[in-house]
Amino acid sequence: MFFLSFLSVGLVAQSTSWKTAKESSVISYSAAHILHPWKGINKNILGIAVVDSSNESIEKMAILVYVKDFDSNNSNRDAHALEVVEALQFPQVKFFSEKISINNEQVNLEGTLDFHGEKAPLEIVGKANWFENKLKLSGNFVIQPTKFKVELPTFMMIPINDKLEFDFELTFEDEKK
Amino acid sequence: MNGNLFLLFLLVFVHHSFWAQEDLFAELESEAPQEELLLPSRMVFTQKFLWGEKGLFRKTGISPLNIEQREKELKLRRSMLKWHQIIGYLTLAGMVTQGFLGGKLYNNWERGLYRTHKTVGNITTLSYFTGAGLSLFSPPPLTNKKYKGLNSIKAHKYLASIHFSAMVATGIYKNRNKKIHKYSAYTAVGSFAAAVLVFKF
Repeated sequence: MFFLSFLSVGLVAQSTSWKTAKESSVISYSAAHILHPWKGINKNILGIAVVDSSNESIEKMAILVYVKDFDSNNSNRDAHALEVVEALQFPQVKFFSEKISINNEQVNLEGTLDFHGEKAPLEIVGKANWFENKLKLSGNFVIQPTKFKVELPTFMMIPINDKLEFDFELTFEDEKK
Repeated sequence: MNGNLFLLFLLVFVHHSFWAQEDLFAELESEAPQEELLLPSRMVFTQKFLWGEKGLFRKTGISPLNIEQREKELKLRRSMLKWHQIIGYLTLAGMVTQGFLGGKLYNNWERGLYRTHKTVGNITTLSYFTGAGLSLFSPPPLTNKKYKGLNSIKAHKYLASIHFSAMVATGIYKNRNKKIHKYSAYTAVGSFAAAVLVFKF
């Protein structure tokens, strides 16, 4: 009985939750219209990685951002973006993955992106760097807003490109240490 | 022994469910509770008058301030601003035509040409003020961040105050002073065209 309990507690103890460090985590999107491209930055990243530090692996990862926190340095554009993504109804964008593999520095995440009330599978290839009680992840991925039923905003009657390129740099820290 | 196995199963199950997707997101949400802001901190006085927290539409109950209503307002806003754009291009075309007709009239006055100038002028004025109204009275956006320095939307707004005044002056002086009418019309066309050009999505 003691052995079994010990084993179970051991299983629990191996995984710890690491949270994103706000000052060093950022997600940005790049979008383009026929007239010009632009970039929106979000520095308010909420994330948890369930980490097994004994073998430097990630079991699960949950990332949550609010659409209102993306700043493209143009208030009118941001306001317009909040309208097309229906920010009052769908204020959050979530990514969850429990299929994470790390080989050397390369990380593969297979998960689900929940955006504008629509869920779609998303595969991300990035870079992982382990430090003492710290994990840095970086990479990029592309989505098509129309696949998430987002109506493309138009300017001069011309819609923006149906492509949003995301770049991310996330730092997870073991809060207990 | 069965009891021990059950305990082990329970502990492993607890371990897995502890890190369930919903729990992780619930933890993240609790970390940064969000304030529900339905209106921006700043808005144009015309929007404030109609759609502000204590605006006319709120007081009369035409448009109560809640999420469902704000969603409808934002759809209306999008539609109004789309028309503001379309009418803006038509107005610019009308203004350019007026500049051409007006210039011809100054050099060689003809009754027929004068009538055309007057008709196109009335249509352009009507479309100008319709376009302006669509922007000024549209429901406010969700956000209205303030940035230091000059940017495209600030330039668009500064130029709007110039072409608005120039358009009013053009109308006032059309039968009073030809010179003022001409120069205010040119100011209106120039600043209006610049306002269209500086605007960036």
